[in-house]
Amino acid sequence: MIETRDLTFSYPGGILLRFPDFRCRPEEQWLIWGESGSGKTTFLHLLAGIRTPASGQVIIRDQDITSLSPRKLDAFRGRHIGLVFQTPHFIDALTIRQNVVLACKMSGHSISQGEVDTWLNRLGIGHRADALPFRCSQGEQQRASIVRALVHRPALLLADEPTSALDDRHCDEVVRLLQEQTRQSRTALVIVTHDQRLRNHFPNALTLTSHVQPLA
Amino acid sequence: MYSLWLSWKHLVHKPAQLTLNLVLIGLSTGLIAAVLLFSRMLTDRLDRNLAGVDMVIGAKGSPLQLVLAGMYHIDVPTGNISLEEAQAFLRPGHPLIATAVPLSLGDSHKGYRIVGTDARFLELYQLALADGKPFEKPMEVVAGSRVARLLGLKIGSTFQSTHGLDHNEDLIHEESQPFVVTGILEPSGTVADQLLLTPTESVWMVHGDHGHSHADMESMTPEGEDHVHGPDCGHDHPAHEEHAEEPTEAREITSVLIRFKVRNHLTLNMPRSINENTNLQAASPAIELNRLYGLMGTGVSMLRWLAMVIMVAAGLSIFVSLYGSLKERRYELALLRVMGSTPTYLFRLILTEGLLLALIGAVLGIVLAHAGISLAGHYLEQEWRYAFPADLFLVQELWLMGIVVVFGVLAALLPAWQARKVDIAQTLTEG
Repeated sequence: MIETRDLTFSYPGGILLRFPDFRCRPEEQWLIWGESGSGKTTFLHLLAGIRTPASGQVIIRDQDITSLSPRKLDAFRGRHIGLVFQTPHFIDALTIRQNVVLACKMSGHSISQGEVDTWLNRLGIGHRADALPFRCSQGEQQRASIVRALVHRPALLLADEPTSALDDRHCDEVVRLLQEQTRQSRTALVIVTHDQRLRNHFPNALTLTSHVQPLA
Repeated sequence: MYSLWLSWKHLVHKPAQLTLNLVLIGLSTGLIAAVLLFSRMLTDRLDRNLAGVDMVIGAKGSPLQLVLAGMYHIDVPTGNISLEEAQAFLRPGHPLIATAVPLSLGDSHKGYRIVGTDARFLELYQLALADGKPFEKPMEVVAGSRVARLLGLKIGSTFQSTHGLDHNEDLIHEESQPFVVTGILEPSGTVADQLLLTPTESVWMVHGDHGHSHADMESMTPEGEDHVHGPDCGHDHPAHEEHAEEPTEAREITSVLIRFKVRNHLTLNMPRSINENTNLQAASPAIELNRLYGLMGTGVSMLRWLAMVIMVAAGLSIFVSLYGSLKERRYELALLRVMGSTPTYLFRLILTEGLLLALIGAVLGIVLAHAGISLAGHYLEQEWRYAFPADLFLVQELWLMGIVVVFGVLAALLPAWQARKVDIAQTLTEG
């Protein structure tokens, strides 16, 4: 279960963002909607524990991550949360396979060579396993980033605008892959986007409006 | 271990930057190590050959040249002195002199110096025979261990001497009686290892002193103003045996090595007294060596400063490359944080890169220094007949490596600190 309660975030300029409470059961798939400035990405960062809320709670697998020490929060994030970004980024010096293994190492999971290959083959990029990321196409990179985010079987996969830069064909493909793979991994999926093309793909959606108010 | 591997992958991902850093670190470390090694080997060689010699007497000229030629055999002698003048120091029973060893230089065999002397030379350098017996009669030779090994000399081997130090077929004393090897010395680590020792009379027999100084032959060319023995040299040669019978006042030697019984004001003043009151020159090896070290010290010091400058440049290069790469690696660092690594892990990662660069550069530098010494040693050995072994390792080299590694870590400190402070949320938002 992923749940937020009374979550607020304050920006340095004295702007306070207030977010609606959110609940996502295991294996559920959600879209978080919102216009620019509505705080979608901030909400995703709060869920991932890479921003600290001004108040409120973020509970993942019965753990309020806002109460964790920085060190424990880093470990928790590595173990239970996967992230996919609009532009896939990698450790440039490592091959696709090594990048996938790195994600496992960092989260404290061990993985065999065969398992990595199975994952990469499942997403159709097995033949690019030993290529450096910059030698792969945008589509191959996006698939590799999905493998990397899921390979350690996190409780929650957060995707930030994963389709905004893609054409329709690739958009459908990425959404399909995210939905299929999270279902197979029994991972909850939360996509933050303003991409209208995704509207019909998800039964669950939360729309963020600008609950912005100046700090008292 | 994994972070070490990750750091290494980052380094090799930018081969040009890696090469530049390693070349700079390797050059500076190598230069300092080579200076350390060369200085140590040279001072070791020079100090080992002091053999307690307090004074060298020879012909007027440069005192440093007199010492280098008489004790280290790496320079031409200043000339010859008459045996009659030298007798005052050579006779036993001198109240101040414990040992006086005559040296007659001028000839060689295949580039290795033949030294006319007497049994006191063996005592002075505490030389022991590995094989055979000491020389007793003229034309008998005791060969140093190294020269015997390199020239394949054995007991009973014979050879003819050559004028000067350079091996030249045209300058071989073909008409003279051959030298016979009667003994081979044990290795001593002194100059004696590369000498061919023979009684002084042998030199007189080969040369005689009828009008030319044999010590001067070392710097002579075949076309030189001094003449070369041979059937066509234009004057009669007395039989070699007759040279040995020449009166003392006609005979010459090159120098005398002297060890005092005691060191007091009398012995302290003796060199000055000789220089002022006789046609001879007296030089103190200790003083001359100090002068030599002083001269060398300036060059060594300049090389050290140069190496320091290169090392600072290397440190700056490490700093600039790590610091400069932070911007382009910012997203990678944020990614590592997202995957669960702590700020301390990122700090360690960058620090390890600096450490690896410095360590590999330092090892490369030490290897370069030894390779350089090996190459230079080969050349110096041909020039000076002294071996400069490249397998000598100094404790200072370990210290040097340690200092370079600390230097590398210090250069990586600020970039590592910056990496630690990467703001994940901001970086990902900008990405």
